[in-house]
Amino acid sequence: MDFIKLSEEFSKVTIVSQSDEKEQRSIGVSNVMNYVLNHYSTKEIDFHSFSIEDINLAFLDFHFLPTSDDELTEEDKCHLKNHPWVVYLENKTVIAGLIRNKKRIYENEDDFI
Amino acid sequence: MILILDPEEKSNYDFSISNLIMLKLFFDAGVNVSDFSDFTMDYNYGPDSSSDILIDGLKALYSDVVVLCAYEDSEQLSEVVSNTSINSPETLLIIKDEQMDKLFHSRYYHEFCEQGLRPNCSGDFCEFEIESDPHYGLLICVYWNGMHHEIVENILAIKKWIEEYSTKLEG
Repeated sequence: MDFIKLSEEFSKVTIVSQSDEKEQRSIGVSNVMNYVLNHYSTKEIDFHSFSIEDINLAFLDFHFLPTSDDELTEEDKCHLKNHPWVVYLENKTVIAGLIRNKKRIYENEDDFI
Repeated sequence: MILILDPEEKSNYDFSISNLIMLKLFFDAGVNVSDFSDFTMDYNYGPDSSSDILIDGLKALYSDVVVLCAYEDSEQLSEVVSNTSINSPETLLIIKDEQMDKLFHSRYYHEFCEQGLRPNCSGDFCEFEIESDPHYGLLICVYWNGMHHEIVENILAIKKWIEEYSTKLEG
């Protein structure tokens, strides 16, 4: 990938920043998602990195996700695409794809795990 | 990508997030939670970490915490049930401290029941009730062991109310 070209492309884009509060909220919520999905231990959690409102929001969003027992209509599936937890996982998948390198040489044989 | 988990797996995550809410509530209340149980849990092996976090947090906030289970402590539990107005719960948590004791024996007790306790005595994700008794203290009756974070939310709201009224009492 040509990162110089990519950064030039990015510089052409005007970033419309969200209000500070909204941005702070989404950072807090995504921190909660990170701790939960990656099974952090209690010791590893930075409790200053999210507010009680952030985690309550993440809890309710997750609680109302359907399960494999629910019958979903096409409309439900469409709504699910914009669900905060789905969006978070999609973003993480994109980042994982960007940093993956098939020809990487590892220092130790089992480092790839 | 569509995130659809099987019901058991989803329920485990629901309980885990609820546990993390409890940890955050205790942390914000000034409790050092670094040695508390991990919040991720598998409900198939019982809601242990959930109860552990709740009890450890309450012990950090109150000097006197008694836990009575319907099976192991049936005698003591039925004694408390017969002496108070509560229904027989699956788990009963009795909490008390000096500040609470003073308030419960003051002229503000009736006011506490109406304004401090009544708005904060039940929840949606766990079947529980919080009652008060001047002799025992606060009685948290858990009828069905669901997610516990609402218990902590309510207890902290009650604690705040008691602290505010205790300053009135002293003044």
